[in-house]
Amino acid sequence: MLFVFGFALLVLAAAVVVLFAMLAELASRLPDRPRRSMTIRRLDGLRLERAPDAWPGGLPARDHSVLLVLSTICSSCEDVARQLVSDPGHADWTAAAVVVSTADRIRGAEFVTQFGLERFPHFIDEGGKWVSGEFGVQTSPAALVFGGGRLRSAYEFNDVAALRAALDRAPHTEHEKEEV
Amino acid sequence: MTEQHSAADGGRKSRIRRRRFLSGIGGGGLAAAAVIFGKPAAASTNVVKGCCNLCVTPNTSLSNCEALVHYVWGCTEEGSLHCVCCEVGTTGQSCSGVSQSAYDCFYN
Repeated sequence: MLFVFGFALLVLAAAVVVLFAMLAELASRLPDRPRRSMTIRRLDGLRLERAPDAWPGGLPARDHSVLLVLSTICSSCEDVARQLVSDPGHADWTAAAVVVSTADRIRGAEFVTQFGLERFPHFIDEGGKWVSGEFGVQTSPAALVFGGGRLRSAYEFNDVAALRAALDRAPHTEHEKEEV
Repeated sequence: MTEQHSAADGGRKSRIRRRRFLSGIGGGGLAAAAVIFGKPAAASTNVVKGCCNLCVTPNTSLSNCEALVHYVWGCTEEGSLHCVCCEVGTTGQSCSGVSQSAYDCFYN
Protein backbone atom coordinates (compact mmCIF):
# COMPACT_ATOMS: atom_id res chain seq x y z
CA MET A 1 0.00 0.00 0.00
CA LEU A 2 2.79 2.36 0.99
CA PHE A 3 4.64 1.52 -2.18
CA VAL A 4 1.62 2.23 -4.38
CA PHE A 5 0.99 5.54 -2.62
CA GLY A 6 4.62 6.56 -2.97
CA PHE A 7 4.73 5.56 -6.61
CA ALA A 8 1.57 7.54 -7.33
CA LEU A 9 3.06 10.56 -5.56
CA LEU A 10 6.28 10.23 -7.54
CA VAL A 11 4.40 10.05 -10.83
CA LEU A 12 2.33 13.07 -9.85
CA ALA A 13 5.42 15.08 -8.88
CA ALA A 14 7.16 14.10 -12.11
CA ALA A 15 4.09 15.10 -14.12
CA VAL A 16 4.01 18.52 -12.48
CA VAL A 17 7.73 19.04 -13.12
CA VAL A 18 7.37 18.01 -16.77
CA LEU A 19 4.34 20.26 -17.18
CA PHE A 20 6.23 23.29 -15.88
CA ALA A 21 9.23 22.41 -18.03
CA MET A 22 6.99 22.29 -21.10
CA LEU A 23 5.44 25.64 -20.23
CA ALA A 24 8.89 27.18 -19.75
CA GLU A 25 10.07 25.79 -23.08
CA LEU A 26 7.01 27.17 -24.84
CA ALA A 27 7.45 30.56 -23.18
CA SER A 28 11.10 30.72 -24.22
CA ARG A 29 10.11 30.16 -27.85
CA LEU A 30 7.67 33.03 -27.92
CA PRO A 31 9.16 36.36 -28.99
CA ASP A 32 9.44 39.01 -26.27
CA ARG A 33 7.82 41.57 -28.48
CA PRO A 34 4.86 40.98 -30.73
CA ARG A 35 6.70 42.31 -33.80
CA ARG A 36 9.54 44.74 -34.32
CA SER A 37 9.08 47.60 -36.72
CA MET A 38 10.40 47.14 -40.25
CA THR A 39 10.28 50.87 -40.88
CA ILE A 40 13.49 52.49 -42.04
CA ARG A 41 13.25 56.24 -41.74
CA ARG A 42 15.71 58.86 -42.82
CA LEU A 43 17.23 60.91 -40.01
CA ASP A 44 16.93 64.61 -40.57
CA GLY A 45 19.05 67.44 -39.27
CA LEU A 46 22.37 65.64 -39.57
CA ARG A 47 25.54 66.85 -41.22
CA LEU A 48 25.25 64.91 -44.44
CA GLU A 49 28.09 65.01 -46.96
CA ARG A 50 30.47 65.80 -44.13
CA ALA A 51 33.92 64.23 -44.08
CA PRO A 52 34.69 63.64 -40.40
CA ASP A 53 37.74 65.32 -38.90
CA ALA A 54 38.59 62.19 -36.91
CA TRP A 55 37.94 58.53 -37.66
CA PRO A 56 38.33 56.06 -34.73
CA GLY A 57 40.88 53.32 -35.25
CA GLY A 58 38.58 50.38 -34.58
CA LEU A 59 36.25 51.18 -37.46
CA PRO A 60 36.49 50.00 -41.09
CA ALA A 61 37.59 52.33 -43.86
CA ARG A 62 35.31 55.29 -44.24
CA ASP A 63 35.23 54.86 -48.04
CA HIS A 64 32.48 52.30 -47.82
CA SER A 65 31.00 51.43 -44.45
CA VAL A 66 27.83 51.46 -42.41
CA LEU A 67 28.12 52.49 -38.78
CA LEU A 68 25.35 51.20 -36.54
CA VAL A 69 25.02 53.59 -33.62
CA LEU A 70 23.71 51.85 -30.51
CA SER A 71 23.47 53.24 -27.00
CA THR A 72 23.72 51.58 -23.61
CA ILE A 73 20.76 53.65 -22.43
CA CYS A 74 18.51 52.41 -25.23
CA SER A 75 16.51 49.21 -24.76
CA SER A 76 15.68 48.87 -28.47
CA CYS A 77 19.45 48.90 -29.12
CA GLU A 78 19.74 45.68 -27.14
CA ASP A 79 17.31 44.09 -29.57
CA VAL A 80 19.40 45.32 -32.50
CA ALA A 81 22.57 43.97 -30.84
CA ARG A 82 20.90 40.56 -30.48
CA GLN A 83 19.88 40.61 -34.15
CA LEU A 84 23.42 41.39 -35.22
CA VAL A 85 24.89 38.44 -33.41
CA SER A 86 22.33 35.68 -33.29
CA ASP A 87 18.84 36.66 -34.38
CA PRO A 88 19.59 35.74 -37.17
CA GLY A 89 23.14 37.13 -37.11
CA HIS A 90 24.84 39.38 -39.63
CA ALA A 91 28.48 38.33 -39.51
CA ASP A 92 28.52 38.37 -43.32
CA TRP A 93 27.92 42.11 -43.36
CA THR A 94 31.52 43.15 -43.81
CA ALA A 95 30.79 46.84 -44.27
CA ALA A 96 29.08 47.08 -40.88
CA ALA A 97 30.61 48.35 -37.68
CA VAL A 98 29.14 49.27 -34.33
CA VAL A 99 29.50 52.55 -32.47
CA VAL A 100 28.39 52.25 -28.84
CA SER A 101 27.36 55.58 -27.38
CA THR A 102 27.61 55.33 -23.61
CA ALA A 103 27.88 57.34 -20.44
CA ASP A 104 31.17 55.72 -19.47
CA ARG A 105 33.66 53.46 -21.16
CA ILE A 106 33.21 50.55 -18.76
CA ARG A 107 29.51 50.39 -19.37
CA GLY A 108 30.13 50.49 -23.11
CA ALA A 109 32.62 47.63 -22.84
CA GLU A 110 30.08 45.66 -20.81
CA PHE A 111 27.51 46.20 -23.57
CA VAL A 112 29.93 44.92 -26.22
CA THR A 113 30.77 41.83 -24.16
CA GLN A 114 27.21 41.13 -23.06
CA PHE A 115 25.91 40.97 -26.62
CA GLY A 116 28.99 39.48 -28.26
CA LEU A 117 29.63 42.50 -30.45
CA GLU A 118 33.39 41.89 -30.38
CA ARG A 119 33.03 40.07 -33.70
CA PHE A 120 32.19 43.39 -35.38
CA PRO A 121 34.57 46.31 -35.69
CA HIS A 122 33.43 48.61 -32.91
CA PHE A 123 34.14 51.86 -31.18
CA ILE A 124 33.02 52.89 -27.70
CA ASP A 125 31.98 56.52 -27.94
CA GLU A 126 32.01 57.96 -24.44
CA GLY A 127 29.20 60.45 -24.04
CA GLY A 128 28.36 59.95 -27.73
CA LYS A 129 30.75 62.83 -28.34
CA TRP A 130 32.14 61.57 -31.62
CA VAL A 131 28.87 60.81 -33.43
CA SER A 132 27.12 63.87 -32.05
CA GLY A 133 30.11 66.17 -32.56
CA GLU A 134 30.94 65.04 -36.08
CA PHE A 135 27.49 64.33 -37.48
CA GLY A 136 24.87 65.59 -35.02
CA VAL A 137 23.59 62.09 -34.22
CA GLN A 138 21.94 61.94 -30.80
CA THR A 139 19.60 59.00 -31.15
CA SER A 140 19.76 55.23 -31.53
CA PRO A 141 19.46 52.80 -33.16
CA ALA A 142 20.83 54.71 -36.13
CA ALA A 143 22.66 53.65 -39.26
CA LEU A 144 25.22 56.01 -40.79
CA VAL A 145 26.11 55.21 -44.38
CA PHE A 146 29.54 56.36 -45.58
CA GLY A 147 30.84 56.53 -49.11
CA GLY A 148 33.94 58.23 -50.42
CA GLY A 149 34.89 59.25 -46.90
CA ARG A 150 31.68 61.22 -46.32
CA LEU A 151 28.44 60.64 -44.49
CA ARG A 152 26.03 59.99 -47.33
CA SER A 153 22.84 59.13 -45.49
CA ALA A 154 21.50 58.21 -42.06
CA TYR A 155 18.52 56.20 -40.91
CA GLU A 156 16.69 55.15 -37.80
CA PHE A 157 15.73 51.51 -37.77
CA ASN A 158 14.78 48.59 -35.53
CA ASP A 159 15.20 45.61 -37.83
CA VAL A 160 18.68 44.89 -39.16
CA ALA A 161 17.53 42.66 -42.02
CA ALA A 162 15.08 45.33 -43.16
CA LEU A 163 17.84 47.93 -42.97
CA ARG A 164 20.18 45.83 -45.09
CA ALA A 165 17.47 45.21 -47.66
CA ALA A 166 16.69 48.92 -47.81
CA LEU A 167 20.34 49.90 -48.18
CA ASP A 168 20.81 47.34 -50.93
CA ARG A 169 18.13 48.94 -53.05
CA ALA A 170 18.48 52.61 -52.07
CA PRO A 171 20.83 55.21 -53.49
CA HIS A 172 22.93 56.49 -50.63
CA THR A 173 22.66 60.17 -51.27
CA GLU A 174 21.02 63.06 -49.57
CA HIS A 175 18.28 63.03 -52.18
CA GLU A 176 16.66 59.86 -50.92
CA LYS A 177 13.04 59.39 -50.16
CA GLU A 178 11.66 60.12 -46.71
CA GLU A 179 11.18 56.43 -45.98
CA VAL A 180 13.17 53.76 -47.72
CA MET B 1 6.44 -8.56 27.14
CA THR B 2 8.86 -9.49 24.37
CA GLU B 3 6.02 -9.60 21.85
CA GLN B 4 4.92 -6.07 22.90
CA HIS B 5 8.48 -4.82 22.41
CA SER B 6 8.77 -6.40 19.01
CA ALA B 7 5.40 -4.98 17.92
CA ALA B 8 6.47 -1.47 19.03
CA ASP B 9 9.82 -1.90 17.27
CA GLY B 10 8.04 -2.99 14.14
CA GLY B 11 5.80 0.11 14.18
CA ARG B 12 8.79 2.41 14.72
CA LYS B 13 10.74 0.76 11.91
CA SER B 14 7.74 1.08 9.61
CA ARG B 15 7.44 4.80 10.38
CA ILE B 16 11.15 5.33 9.77
CA ARG B 17 10.94 3.42 6.49
CA ARG B 18 7.95 5.54 5.41
CA ARG B 19 9.73 8.75 6.42
CA ARG B 20 12.83 7.79 4.47
CA PHE B 21 10.77 6.74 1.48
CA LEU B 22 8.83 10.00 1.38
CA SER B 23 11.91 12.13 1.98
CA GLY B 24 13.59 10.23 -0.85
CA ILE B 25 10.71 11.09 -3.16
CA GLY B 26 10.84 14.72 -2.10
CA GLY B 27 14.59 14.92 -2.57
CA GLY B 28 14.39 13.20 -5.92
CA GLY B 29 11.70 15.59 -7.06
CA LEU B 30 13.76 18.59 -6.05
CA ALA B 31 16.83 17.19 -7.77
CA ALA B 32 14.83 16.52 -10.93
CA ALA B 33 13.40 20.05 -10.86
CA ALA B 34 16.87 21.52 -10.40
CA VAL B 35 18.18 19.52 -13.36
CA ILE B 36 15.27 20.43 -15.62
CA PHE B 37 14.91 24.11 -14.74
CA GLY B 38 18.54 24.86 -14.00
CA LYS B 39 19.68 28.10 -12.43
CA PRO B 40 17.52 31.16 -13.00
CA ALA B 41 19.05 33.90 -15.09
CA ALA B 42 20.22 36.90 -13.15
CA ALA B 43 17.51 39.51 -13.21
CA SER B 44 18.41 42.80 -14.78
CA THR B 45 18.30 45.69 -12.37
CA ASN B 46 17.77 48.23 -15.13
CA VAL B 47 14.45 49.98 -15.53
CA VAL B 48 12.91 50.07 -19.00
CA LYS B 49 10.71 53.10 -19.70
CA GLY B 50 9.58 53.48 -23.30
CA CYS B 51 12.76 52.59 -25.19
CA CYS B 52 14.99 53.92 -22.39
CA ASN B 53 17.06 51.43 -20.44
CA LEU B 54 17.78 53.32 -17.22
CA CYS B 55 20.07 52.38 -14.34
CA VAL B 56 17.68 53.71 -11.70
CA THR B 57 13.96 54.35 -11.53
CA PRO B 58 13.20 57.81 -12.95
CA ASN B 59 13.28 60.21 -10.01
CA THR B 60 13.60 63.67 -11.51
CA SER B 61 12.34 65.73 -14.42
CA LEU B 62 14.09 65.71 -17.77
CA SER B 63 14.97 69.41 -17.45
CA ASN B 64 16.50 68.85 -14.00
CA CYS B 65 18.46 65.87 -15.30
CA GLU B 66 19.81 67.82 -18.26
CA ALA B 67 20.87 70.67 -15.97
CA LEU B 68 23.31 68.39 -14.12
CA VAL B 69 26.34 66.45 -15.31
CA HIS B 70 24.53 63.93 -17.39
CA TYR B 71 24.35 61.55 -20.30
CA VAL B 72 21.35 62.19 -22.50
CA TRP B 73 20.47 60.22 -25.61
CA GLY B 74 17.46 59.58 -27.77
CA CYS B 75 15.98 56.26 -28.83
CA THR B 76 13.31 54.97 -31.16
CA GLU B 77 11.23 51.84 -31.12
CA GLU B 78 8.59 50.27 -33.31
CA GLY B 79 9.01 53.05 -35.84
CA SER B 80 6.89 55.60 -34.01
CA LEU B 81 7.96 55.73 -30.36
CA HIS B 82 10.62 58.33 -29.65
CA CYS B 83 12.14 58.89 -26.21
CA VAL B 84 14.79 61.07 -24.64
CA CYS B 85 16.66 59.26 -21.86
CA CYS B 86 18.81 60.98 -19.24
CA GLU B 87 21.04 59.79 -16.41
CA VAL B 88 22.97 61.80 -13.83
CA GLY B 89 26.19 60.74 -12.16
CA THR B 90 27.41 58.37 -14.81
CA THR B 91 31.10 58.76 -14.11
CA GLY B 92 31.27 55.69 -11.88
CA GLN B 93 31.76 52.12 -12.96
CA SER B 94 28.83 50.68 -14.86
CA CYS B 95 25.50 51.69 -13.26
CA SER B 96 27.04 52.18 -9.83
CA GLY B 97 27.54 55.93 -10.19
CA VAL B 98 24.05 56.74 -11.43
CA SER B 99 21.95 58.63 -8.90
CA GLN B 100 19.13 60.14 -10.94
CA SER B 101 17.35 59.46 -14.19
CA ALA B 102 14.56 60.87 -16.29
CA TYR B 103 12.88 60.22 -19.61
CA ASP B 104 10.28 61.63 -21.91
CA CYS B 105 8.53 59.81 -24.75
CA PHE B 106 6.16 60.67 -27.55
CA TYR B 107 4.63 58.96 -30.54
CA ASN B 108 4.59 60.35 -34.06
